[in-house]
Amino acid sequence: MDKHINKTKRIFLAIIVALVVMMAGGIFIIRGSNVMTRNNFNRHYSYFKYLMMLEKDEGNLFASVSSSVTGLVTIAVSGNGDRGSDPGTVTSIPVLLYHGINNDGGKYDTAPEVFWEQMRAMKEAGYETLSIGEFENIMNGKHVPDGKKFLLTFDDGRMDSYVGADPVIRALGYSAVMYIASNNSLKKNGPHSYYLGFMELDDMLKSGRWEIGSHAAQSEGDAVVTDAEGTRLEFLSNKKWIEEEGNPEGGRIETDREYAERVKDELGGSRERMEKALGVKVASFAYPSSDYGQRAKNNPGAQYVISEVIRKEYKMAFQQVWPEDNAYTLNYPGMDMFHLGRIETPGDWSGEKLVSYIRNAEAKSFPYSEQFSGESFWKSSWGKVAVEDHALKIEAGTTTAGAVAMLDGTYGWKDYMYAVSVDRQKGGYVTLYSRYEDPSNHISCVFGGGRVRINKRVDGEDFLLKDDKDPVKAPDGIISLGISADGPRIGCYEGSVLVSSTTDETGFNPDQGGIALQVWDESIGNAAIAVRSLQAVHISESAALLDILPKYALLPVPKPVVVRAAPAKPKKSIVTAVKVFDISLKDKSGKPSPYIVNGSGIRSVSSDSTNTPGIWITGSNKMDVGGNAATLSTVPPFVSASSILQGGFKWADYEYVADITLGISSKVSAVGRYANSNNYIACEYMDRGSWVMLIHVKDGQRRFLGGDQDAAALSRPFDDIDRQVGMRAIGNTISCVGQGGSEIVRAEVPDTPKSGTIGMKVYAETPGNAAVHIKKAVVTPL
Amino acid sequence: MKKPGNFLYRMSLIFIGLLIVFLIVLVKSKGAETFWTNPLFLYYTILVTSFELSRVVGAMLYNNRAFKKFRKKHGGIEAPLDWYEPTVSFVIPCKNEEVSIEKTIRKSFAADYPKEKIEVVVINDGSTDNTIGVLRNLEREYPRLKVVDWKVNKGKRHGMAEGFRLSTGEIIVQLDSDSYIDPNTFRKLIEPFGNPEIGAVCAHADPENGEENFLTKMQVAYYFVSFRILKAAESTFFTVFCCSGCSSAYRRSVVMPILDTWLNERFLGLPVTWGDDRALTNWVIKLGYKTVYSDEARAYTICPNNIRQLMKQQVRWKKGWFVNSMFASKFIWRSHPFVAFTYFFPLILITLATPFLAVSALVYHPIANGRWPLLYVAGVFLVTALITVYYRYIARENKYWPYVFAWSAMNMVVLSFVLFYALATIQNRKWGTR
Repeated sequence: MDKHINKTKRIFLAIIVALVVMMAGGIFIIRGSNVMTRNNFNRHYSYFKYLMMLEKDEGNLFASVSSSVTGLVTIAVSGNGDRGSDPGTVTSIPVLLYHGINNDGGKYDTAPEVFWEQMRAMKEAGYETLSIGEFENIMNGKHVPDGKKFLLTFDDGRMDSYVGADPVIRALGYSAVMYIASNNSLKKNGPHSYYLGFMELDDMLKSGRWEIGSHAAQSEGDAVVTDAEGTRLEFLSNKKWIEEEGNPEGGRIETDREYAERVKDELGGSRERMEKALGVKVASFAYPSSDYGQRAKNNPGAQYVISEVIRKEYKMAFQQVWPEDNAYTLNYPGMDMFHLGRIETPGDWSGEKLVSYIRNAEAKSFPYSEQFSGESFWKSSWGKVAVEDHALKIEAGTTTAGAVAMLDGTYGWKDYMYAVSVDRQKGGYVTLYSRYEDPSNHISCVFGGGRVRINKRVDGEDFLLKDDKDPVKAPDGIISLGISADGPRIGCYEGSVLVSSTTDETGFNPDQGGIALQVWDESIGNAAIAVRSLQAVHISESAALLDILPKYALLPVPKPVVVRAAPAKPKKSIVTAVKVFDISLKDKSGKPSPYIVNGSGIRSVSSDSTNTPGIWITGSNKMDVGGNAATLSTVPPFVSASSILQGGFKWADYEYVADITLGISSKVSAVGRYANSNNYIACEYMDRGSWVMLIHVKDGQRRFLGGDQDAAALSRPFDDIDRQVGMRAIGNTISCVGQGGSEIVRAEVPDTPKSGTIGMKVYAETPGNAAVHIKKAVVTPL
Repeated sequence: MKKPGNFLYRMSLIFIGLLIVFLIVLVKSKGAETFWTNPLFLYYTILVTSFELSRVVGAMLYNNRAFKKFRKKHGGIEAPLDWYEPTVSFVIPCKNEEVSIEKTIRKSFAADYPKEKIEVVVINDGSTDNTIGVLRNLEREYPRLKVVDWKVNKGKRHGMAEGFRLSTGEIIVQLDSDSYIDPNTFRKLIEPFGNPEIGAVCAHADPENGEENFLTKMQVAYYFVSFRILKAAESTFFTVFCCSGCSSAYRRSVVMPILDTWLNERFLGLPVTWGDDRALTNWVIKLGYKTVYSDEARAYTICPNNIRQLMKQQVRWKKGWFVNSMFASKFIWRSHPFVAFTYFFPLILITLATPFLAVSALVYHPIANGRWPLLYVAGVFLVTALITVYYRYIARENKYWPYVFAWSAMNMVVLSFVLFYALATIQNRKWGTR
């Protein structure tokens, strides 16, 4: 009997142990995978639901797809002959951005059915998704896409966006890029967690529908504490507060090195960790909060640091582009790959609205004309802009001195001419922009005040290329204005009259870009134009356009301006345009002698003035002498003003110290070793001078050489204290100096211009807001 | 037994059973995921589920031939099974049972057993109705009926003890006043005693009033599960911890020596008034005898038909379970280590812990975290489903199986908490069935 019981016990035990092992094993195996999660169930269920919906409307969809295919074929056939030569057939690629796909209804949420409808509309409109690699090839000009394409991206690596979006893109045959923060996602997050985990990412990559991009590491979340009070600011651009025991202030903000190391880890470290964990290449980056350094509050060097690191670590980086800013909505081959724009698709847009929004922003081709009826293709971030009453109305707002409107979809234009008929209602100046890449890069003709000026702006720095008296007797009411750009040749037109022209041989002029229009006046709220029509043609067709433009009479002038079809004798640059002369830093006996310009000795001149020794020459700005100081300030729409000292181009080793007070500007730069507008050294004093950066501009490219944040603050006019800024240059050793010539930051610059003159620059984000008062400048030979 | 389609029926049940096991694993894995921060919880769910599965496995290994076939090998009596006919005494304590006592007595005498070997001892424990009248009438009809008439109620345990003392049979069959043993299956209750190691046998009991209402239907399913599966599983190891009071048989020679000890049992200073059957069975086990359950011996009893009575009964049973578990835990780990550690102690742990988990899953998490107890409920019902599949497998004709789920639901939200009420009122020694 006991034997029997023992046998039974053994059998029982064996079965139970087997069951427990099976169950526990099963639990651990299933627990370790995300196959059986509710999320996965939802994904598959929704996929079939969407498939059924597609099936239901198959006839419909098929019809629309086939019609769009027919449409494409037609376009291809018609554009076949001159595709290469016709710059109008530029590719423009929309990049869409979503955050969450759920029903929470928050600012960053899109309901699944809305997302489905939007994507469905894109599909029906004939748009197909690109992979990052394909997108990169198109942007680099290596590949011309056939048909309409777009890139679909998601930020933050949210679980709900994967669960909500995956069935949709799967049903539609789309693919997408998920930007994840390595700190949030490279772990085994549970299926109910907010962020995607390692398991889901693995699944996503295996599905072939998803690619992964970096949204930084976000090691400390999306903000860092920046001061003792605990103020939290964007983590990527701001220096964080480090608490320190024994520090009387309780802590300090990061040093440059610490900040740079952190940026390196956020950008490069996150990429490395993702690549290691997921076994894929991570080529693209999405700036969290669309912050590429421009949101820095305590760290003026942020953009330089971020820009330097991002270009090393990635092939491209995305920020956001909104309807109300002045950036092109879509992306064009040749654009800066590290400031690509994404449309942050609002959760309340219908699919139809999304498609029409993209269509309005799509690349425009030549010949292009507008009578301003119906939809607006114009974007504005300054003043009021509206298409109404068959006109494009550009008006200053109640707080702005002017207004600007940019024609979306024209980034890809290169050599072209356009003319607008403008009803000049209020305000003194009308500016026609061409080669408008972004607010910091463009060329323009400024009409007003009886003069016509040709300006260019490169990386936010303004240069006056030409300043002519307006020779045309302008008609009252509507006037026709035009601008042409043909390689380095720029021309300004009133009617068919070429009123000013120049050739910019610096080689760094914006070589492509579209149209923007601006109106401006000295007083606030007093500028308004109504543009009645616009015609743009490729430069090869400009003769035909000139034919139909009105022919205005010229003003009777003592010396009539000779209007020629071809621009006048090409000039190399604004610097070489001025006759060079030298100021000696030696006295009559040959001993070194400082050169001093005191306040009253500084005079304002324009670039085509006489070459008197010892005066400053200025670019697109103004220099006023009043009291015992010279004031260098910007003129709207310009955000910066610069001035250099003629006669110092042969100076090599010297110390340059200027006594200044600051106006309301974000930075002032003491410029030295200025060889030409594209090659010089600048000591930039930001945050009232408490942050000093040593910048080398070489061949038009800015390079950040070093900085210091602990310099003494510069004074404001109301401080009634003189502060000094300047530079010491000995051979390749360049220093930025402060009070009394004390060295603030020093760098070895092997490729510095060996000699060059001094200058001063001032900058503020708001046009017309920058000013610096220079009381005395002393150059001491060393 | 062999019906057409039986094979298919059983195969599909096996398939469903396997599917349910898979689903259980799935649900547990989901639950484990949510509670990853708390690995103890995972181990606990594995323990609970394994325990519940082990009951089904134990029931599967149950074989009613097992306790008979060793008779010849080990037993003292060499006679064929049918010839083993010891004298039998029915002991029936009753109080205010004028309605049902007659049927109980008549069924007892009607047992398929030599009449001269049967006697019935009824203890009228201070009835205030006409029970004694009924008994007196029957006394005239059945000479082998002994009636003890107590004017004052002394309690069931005293009644039982008195009956045991007055009875003469080798085997004492203890019946509740409202239950009876199917005369045709009576021999099956006695047969196991042919094996001298067996000290007590428990019959399979079904409610007689099962059709009455939803509550009684639920109890039919519950009785079937607790007898045919849970008791059968205990019986597989010849250690049934409770030969239920409504219909069990004891070997006289085993129980008589401990009768006084059993009768005077105290818990926390007061006499124990419930769990008499369980206490007696524990004594039998402690004395080293085996206790078994026979699924062939069929008994019928009346089950509570309203919630109040059911609750009172449950409270009583829980109290009995607790008191006797305390008692048994003192020796069971030494005398029956296997049963103690595969069944007895896990059961105590789970019974005590389950209400806390139920509160946490059903009340705390929904309120505090807004998390619906879907996984918990799914887990409970999947285990129930597995039990039901086995139920269907062994008793295709039993149509009450859907009520297993109802009972399980009630158990989940009500009955598991009754334990705490029972423990809180454990010093209340009133009997209180009805």
